Amino acid sequence: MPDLATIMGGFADAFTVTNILYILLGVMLGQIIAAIPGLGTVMALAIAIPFTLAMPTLTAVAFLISISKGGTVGGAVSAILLNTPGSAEAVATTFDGYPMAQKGEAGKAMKYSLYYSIFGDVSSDIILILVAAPLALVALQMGPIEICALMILAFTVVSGLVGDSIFKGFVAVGIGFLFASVGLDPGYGIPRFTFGEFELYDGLPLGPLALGMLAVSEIIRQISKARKNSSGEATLQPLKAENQKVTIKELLANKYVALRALVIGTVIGAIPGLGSSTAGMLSYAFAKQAAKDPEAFGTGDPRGIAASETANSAVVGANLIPLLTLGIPGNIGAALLVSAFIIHGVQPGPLLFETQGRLVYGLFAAMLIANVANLLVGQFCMRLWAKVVTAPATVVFPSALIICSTGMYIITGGLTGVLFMSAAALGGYAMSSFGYPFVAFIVAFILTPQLEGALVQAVAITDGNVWVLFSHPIAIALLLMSVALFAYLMVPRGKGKKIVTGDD
Amino acid sequence: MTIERFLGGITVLCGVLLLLYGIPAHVDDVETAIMSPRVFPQIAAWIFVIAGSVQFLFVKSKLKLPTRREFIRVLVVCGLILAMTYLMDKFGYLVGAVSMMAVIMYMVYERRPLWLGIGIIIVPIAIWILFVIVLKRPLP
Repeated sequence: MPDLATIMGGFADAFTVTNILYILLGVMLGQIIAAIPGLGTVMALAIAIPFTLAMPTLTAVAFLISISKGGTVGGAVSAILLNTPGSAEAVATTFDGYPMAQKGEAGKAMKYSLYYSIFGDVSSDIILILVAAPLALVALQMGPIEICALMILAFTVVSGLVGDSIFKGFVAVGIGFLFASVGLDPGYGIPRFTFGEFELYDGLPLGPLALGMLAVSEIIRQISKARKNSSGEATLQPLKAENQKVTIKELLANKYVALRALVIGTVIGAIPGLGSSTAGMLSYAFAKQAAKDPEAFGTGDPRGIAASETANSAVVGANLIPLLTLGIPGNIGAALLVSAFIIHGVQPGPLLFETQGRLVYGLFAAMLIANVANLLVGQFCMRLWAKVVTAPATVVFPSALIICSTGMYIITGGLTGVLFMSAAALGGYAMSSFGYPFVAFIVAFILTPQLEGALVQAVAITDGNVWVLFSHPIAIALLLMSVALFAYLMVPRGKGKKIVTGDD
Repeated sequence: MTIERFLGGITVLCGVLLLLYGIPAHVDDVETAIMSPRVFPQIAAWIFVIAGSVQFLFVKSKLKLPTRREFIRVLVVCGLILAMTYLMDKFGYLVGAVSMMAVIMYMVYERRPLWLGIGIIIVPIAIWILFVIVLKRPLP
């Protein structure tokens, strides 16, 4: 566990004028970009990553986290005013947010979404701060055999829960293994699939790969879908949002819904592969199921907004639990954060608390500051964002593309990075078109070096004797969980019982 | 043949090709190794063979594939990204960025002068100012 001086030092690092200004900027950017239908938090992160190159590590990470946080608030703006969620996580917010706006209570619906979003976010951050360090300590106790078993469980979860077929998930993981094999092997330094190219000795670069696959593929998909006379479609007419107040009594009336949503959001966020939209939808479904008057949902009931917004925002903090303690990114947003961490020379994982404890606690402090900034910016600017949601996609997508390309040029210092990014974008487009979850690919790509290193150590320790495994109960338990999950996902279920898919 | 069968078949073929040619040709083996450098690529190849076979035999298609027009446009945009970077390298950032914005905005049927002006002129200049002047990162 980091000592008090490290914790205090980290908090002090975060409270600088520069950091606070970047956090404010990040929150504003996140809210604005996520408010524009079709863009969302992931796009906001992708656009912002190239700009973080010139920043110190803590400032960069704080800026990116602030964008994530802002995104969860911004997505609700267009969900409420246009009935079109700005980002996928706000889908469930449309169900009651838009009907409220139609009744002339758009301002009130936006305030509800803001307050519940902040509640979910702050609470899950506190949970993260409380559990991350002890969990990392547990993770550090794990030997290579346990790490291998944990990775296998992570791959099973990601393959099974993201996308519509576990086997396609496995294929995506296999592609991740293969791509991560490029470069020098960690055991003997033997070149693998380098084709004599010296640049490939370090392996395929994560930054261009992640940005291309996760963000640029979506931008080019949107551009490819453009049709004649469709440019005016982006100019939708949002409903008017008057400044309306929400009282504490009104907020507390939905406290149980919000608390349940917090639990759902935190649990879903901590599981790799699932994400904010799954949390929002699941929480909404639970809230409706548990209500005495389920017919009120969908007609402008604030409980619907509470359920959706609390849960999808609670994912942001919880998502960092597997990322910071085990180095496992939970979803696309977390995968982009990992690439940003790595670009800045920081390797997420349990060792992070030992080697860069001050940075981690600086990050925690920045998250808390970002919550305050999110509340303030949302309080004063949400009605202003209502004007932004009408920005045409015909300008937004080409601009995003040019920012990503320029960023890659700068990050890699030339054409190579842009070439990788374009190839990855094409690959990501093909994978998502053919139903292969590229989140599974990215997670496998990121984790493979760690897994391979652990596997080499495990084989060395056991001398190839698999029976040694039986003296490692934690590894056995993790492997059994993988088998059980695999078996569960293989059993055909009825339509209504189909397992949720992590579309983000 | 359904698309899933086709994809499953291709996946199996890739796995087999990797096992028979790709890995032996491009990854050297170390006989005395604790774990051969070939192990991970081989795991990937076997995943392709097994999961691809299951996909070929059992997975039912729920895919909605992009149209040919969409696919061609995707290829064009990827080509444009590379062309822009090349132009950027040869003639400077603004030439590359302005040309790319102009072509892509034409592709997405944006014809309103105000938005064209914003996209083609203001956005590239704003990005240049942000990177070069604010963030002090050199652009060609």
